[in-house]
Amino acid sequence: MMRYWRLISIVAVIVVVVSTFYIQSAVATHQYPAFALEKQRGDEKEAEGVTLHGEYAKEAQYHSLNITTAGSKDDFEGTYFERLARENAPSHIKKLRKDYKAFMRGKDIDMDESMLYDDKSLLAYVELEPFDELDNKYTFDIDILEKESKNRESFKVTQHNDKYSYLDVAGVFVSHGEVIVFTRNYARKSENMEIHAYWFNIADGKLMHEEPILSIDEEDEQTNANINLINSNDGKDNNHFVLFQKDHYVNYNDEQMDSEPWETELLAYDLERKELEKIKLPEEIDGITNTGVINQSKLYFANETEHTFEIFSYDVENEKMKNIYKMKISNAVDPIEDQGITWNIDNNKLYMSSVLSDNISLADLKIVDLDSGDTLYEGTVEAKSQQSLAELDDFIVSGISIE
Amino acid sequence: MIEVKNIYKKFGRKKVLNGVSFTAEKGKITCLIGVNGVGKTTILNAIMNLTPINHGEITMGDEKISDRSFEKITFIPDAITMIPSMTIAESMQFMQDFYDSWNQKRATELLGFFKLKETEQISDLSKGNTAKVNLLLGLALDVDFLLMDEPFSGIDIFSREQIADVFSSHLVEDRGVIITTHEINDIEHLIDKVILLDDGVVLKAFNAEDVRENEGKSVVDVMREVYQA
Amino acid sequence: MSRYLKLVNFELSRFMKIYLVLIAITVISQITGIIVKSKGYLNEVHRTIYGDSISKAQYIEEYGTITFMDYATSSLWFLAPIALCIAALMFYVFFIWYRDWFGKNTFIYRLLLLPSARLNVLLAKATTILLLVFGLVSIQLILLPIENNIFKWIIPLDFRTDLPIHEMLEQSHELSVLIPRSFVEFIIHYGIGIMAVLVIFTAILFERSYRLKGILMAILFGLLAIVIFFLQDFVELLLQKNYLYPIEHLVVRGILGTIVIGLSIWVSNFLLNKKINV
Repeated sequence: MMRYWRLISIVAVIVVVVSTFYIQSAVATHQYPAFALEKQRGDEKEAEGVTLHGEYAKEAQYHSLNITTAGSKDDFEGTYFERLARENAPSHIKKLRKDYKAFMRGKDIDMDESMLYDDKSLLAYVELEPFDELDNKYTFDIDILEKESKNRESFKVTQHNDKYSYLDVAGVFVSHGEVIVFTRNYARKSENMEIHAYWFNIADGKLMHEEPILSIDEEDEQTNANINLINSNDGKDNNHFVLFQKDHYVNYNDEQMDSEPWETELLAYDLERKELEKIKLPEEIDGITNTGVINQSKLYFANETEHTFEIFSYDVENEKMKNIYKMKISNAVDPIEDQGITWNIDNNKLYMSSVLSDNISLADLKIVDLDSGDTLYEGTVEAKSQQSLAELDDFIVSGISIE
Repeated sequence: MIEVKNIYKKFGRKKVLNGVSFTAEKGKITCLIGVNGVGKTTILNAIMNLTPINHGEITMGDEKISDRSFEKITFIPDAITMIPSMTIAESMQFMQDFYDSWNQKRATELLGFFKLKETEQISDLSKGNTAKVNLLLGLALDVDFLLMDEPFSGIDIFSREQIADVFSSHLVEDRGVIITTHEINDIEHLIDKVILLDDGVVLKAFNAEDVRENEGKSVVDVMREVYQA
Repeated sequence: MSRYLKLVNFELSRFMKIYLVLIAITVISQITGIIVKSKGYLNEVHRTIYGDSISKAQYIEEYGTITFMDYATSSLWFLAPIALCIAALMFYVFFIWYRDWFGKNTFIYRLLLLPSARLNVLLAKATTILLLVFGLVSIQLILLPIENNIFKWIIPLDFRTDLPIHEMLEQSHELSVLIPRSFVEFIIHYGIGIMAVLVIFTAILFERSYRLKGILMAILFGLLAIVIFFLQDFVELLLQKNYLYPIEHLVVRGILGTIVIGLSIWVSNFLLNKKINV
């Protein structure tokens, strides 16, 4: 046996060292700080389905995590397979992939969801096939799934046009048996860009109507304008509007990049009436930092000052802005971090969260019924152990999503 | 019995073996004779499955030769098959580790016979002693057949004599030996069977004893007849 | 002990001297490096503090603290021996075969004439390469905490940020390839490594069997292995769609990798038994 000392000792060293390392690192992996949303007042049920998206810093490294009433899930946590399955996609996409595996297969929306539409009854996905420059041809590849019946409808529509050099999908919506696709069309000969709307009839797979609805032209070009479609395609709210934001940069030049302010225009496109309307924000609301939340037929904006937090609703039809909620900001809100209040609105309920500085809780969550003004729920994000709280260097709430 | 049946071998366009057939029996010394480059080594390599043949068949006792045969047949190439940095003892240990047919008693006997020192490193050995170690490693295996490629080439006269003595000793007795050589003088009196090769074919195969007794000729006489004809 | 294991032990012993030298170089270079670099850093800190007459706190605020990995990933003392070991082992993947053919000894005769399946010779050589690699990985894993302690011992607490070893490794892209975070990834990385070694071995056997013509066959075999292993990516590239979900990707990749390994071993076995030329 002694003659095999080389083999035996090498194998022994490898087994001991490698297994020790991986056992240690597996144990350490489970030492990520745990958090949970805990009720202080109100109805626990209101907070079910609410996910706070946040980040925390520990040992000079930032980790992102999702916190619910059930606890927290660190994006860094879990086995290799769990991490792989979690991919980089947001949780609602992952859920769609699980529920509609066959339909979601091959749909590239990890980085950009604008090609996907999702509401209670159906899923729609529109892809533009690579622009054929020789034939000046662009093809819409449309795929629709009825969630209940699992009926799948797919069709392609090809258009010829030599005006554009490139197209991409800015957003997809479904309304009254029609798929509405918003595209960014980049002109071939100038730097102009147009937002187009294409209306496809699902029943016969035909293009019904096409029109340009917004553009950046030569004049805008000098001010370096940019158009973004800002509400998500997540159509569970049955939105009537598509919101566009057009940013201008006044007296643009390279040297003054930071010194001149942006000017922002908000435009709402009414899917029912096929009309674009400009939204006039009152002066106290800063249109630059305030992109608004769209829910059903309403638009919501927030205004935060040193001591107050206000929510306004905007009625597109009569162009009226109404203050529907006002709150005093408590002292517990961390003034140094100055992250402000993260908010969202769903089903006429306001969800607000802010980071706290009281060293006991990390952040709070408040749910308010906007009709009555009643507070339905108040809760805090608690660290599961005092030790993990002490080890934290930083904590940020970056978003709230509601299932 | 080793049976070589009609084997062909090409290296590129060059035909080295052109339908060679012969047999080698246990207990006899079969000698493959021919000038250099005539394909003698190729035949031995082919028997040991160290080079693929293009056509033909080689069997040992009706079985194809494979790694399963290597406890029964062994090959002593013209250069030593051990790593130069190993000592003689380490080489013997290696053989003992891997071969069930290794006969340590005979190995020790051969060591004494060749007057070799176990602790010497192979790279430090003289040419003659290297050849002896090479021979030792093959002879110490209890095999039925021994293949030797040019065991005498480039070796001093005393070593030759020593090696030749091995053939007449009990160390080889009962085993089948296939030996290649282009100089027959040292072992002429030991050979049982002669295969004369040229241009990749067997020119003549005969029993040495038959020609000696019946025709009164030596092997060299026959060689002269065949090659100079 | 089986002949295969005896062969592995034998192959290990043939590389042992160079291997011990590689380990010695790594240990000496990395430990020297951590001492030299840490002292250098500390001198620099003192010079800045006295030169600019600022306080310790001001210095830290301005320049920040350093971590062990700041040293490791930026210092040739640390990285060069790793690169050297990798290069030596990559070279040895070829040399482990050619050393038996070339030079004065004809050890390949001995190996091919052993009374055990010739495939064992190949498997033993592949196992040897794998053990040599794992051995070096283990040495690095032993060295890291030692170096980390030296680092802690030289640099005062205020100037450094400490991380556990496994988190340090994640910060270095190069190191996390060699020592991945989870054991599953470890298996995947080195599974791919074994596959690559087996494909190269098969390519070498092609060359040894058919010589000049064999080089071409070796290249073709290598390309075939690449095509098989990346089949799904080629298909997806062609269709311009990421058709498979990540888990499916991994499963298919695993199957394709197994096919490449199986094919390599099968072809090698065929070459060793039917086509090899000494």
